[in-house]
Amino acid sequence: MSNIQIFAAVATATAAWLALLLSVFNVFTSRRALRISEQQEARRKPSVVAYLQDGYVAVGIKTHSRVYAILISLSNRSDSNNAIAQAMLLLTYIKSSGTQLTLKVGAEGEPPSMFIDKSANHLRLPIRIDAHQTVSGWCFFAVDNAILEDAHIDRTQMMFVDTYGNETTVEPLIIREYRNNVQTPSHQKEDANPTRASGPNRS
Amino acid sequence: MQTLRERPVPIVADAGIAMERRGDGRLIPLVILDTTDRLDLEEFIRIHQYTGPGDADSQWATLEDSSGRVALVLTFKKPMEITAVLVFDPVKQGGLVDQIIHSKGLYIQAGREGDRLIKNPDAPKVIVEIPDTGFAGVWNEIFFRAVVQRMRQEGLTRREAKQAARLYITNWRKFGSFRIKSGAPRTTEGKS
Repeated sequence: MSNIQIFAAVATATAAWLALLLSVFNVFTSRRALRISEQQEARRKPSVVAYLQDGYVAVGIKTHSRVYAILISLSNRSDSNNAIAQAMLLLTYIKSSGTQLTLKVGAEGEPPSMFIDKSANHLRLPIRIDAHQTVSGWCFFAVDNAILEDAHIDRTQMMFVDTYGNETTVEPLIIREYRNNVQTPSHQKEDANPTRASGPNRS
Repeated sequence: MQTLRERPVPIVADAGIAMERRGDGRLIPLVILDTTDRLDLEEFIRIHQYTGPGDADSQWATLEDSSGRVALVLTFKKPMEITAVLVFDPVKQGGLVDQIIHSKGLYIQAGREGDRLIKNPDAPKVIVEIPDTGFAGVWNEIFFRAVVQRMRQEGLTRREAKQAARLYITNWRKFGSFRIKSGAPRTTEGKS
């Protein structure tokens, strides 16, 4: 075998090894690129997280209705812009007959008259939430007393539906009762203080 | 083919309500349902009068049990998630189904066996929009066959029954298409 032939064989083998190493390197690189693009795609997936800041239920202030006032913040954790289309209060109640039902109540378009504090930020829907932004505000729900007669509330949930149709729920475990101090002065001392800078005002 | 998981809610009576302020004065049928075993449906109808407009889907179906009956599946989403399946016999209740399809609406009311609209006209009712989802064409054929069958049971020949069925359907739709112009609500009553 001549020197030239040996050189050619060695060069070919070296080139083959280099090609193998390069392709292995490319496999790792493309895997990493795939992982990054999957992570980017996952970050683009709509993700709205609701956080309950405060909540009251006002009984006997509005005629024939109890009013739920819930301060909520909604964070858009994804890279895509989003919007909240609907807010609903889900009241699960049990009738004296034992029948369990879940009522869906849509948010009020205007704050009830007793929440007259202008600093109270009413969360008007639909509302846009850009990527990685948070909005906050009060949601109000009126439930006719006749609905809940002869029944006790088992569970209270809030549900938000975004523009992609995804649902986000948050469950207020304890909602403080907010009473009109003119109508029920004896309860005034028992109440938690709801007068906050951004909270509802006592009428 | 889809299997209905809900048991049908029995219809104990039917009627029609025409109001100037609702549905452009169309005569919208009403069915009184026996909710003895469906307290959730009864509660849904009761509370609906205290809430705003709800959301509902409707779907017509023909039952594959050789009875020739048709079903209306009502799926309510708001203010409660609840499903009600109503089953109609085209021979006995064909006129009612035809009126539901043409008026594009239906009132449902909770009740018990023996209840009639006239006994308690102010009982809570829920009106459901029933849009045409392509069933009207299928229904025309079912309705015609059901009326022919009924005419045959009355003793008419096949040819006479077909002629009478066409006339009956034309006149029934003429009657059902009337619109109330003004004044108080008017009702018609039937028995299922």
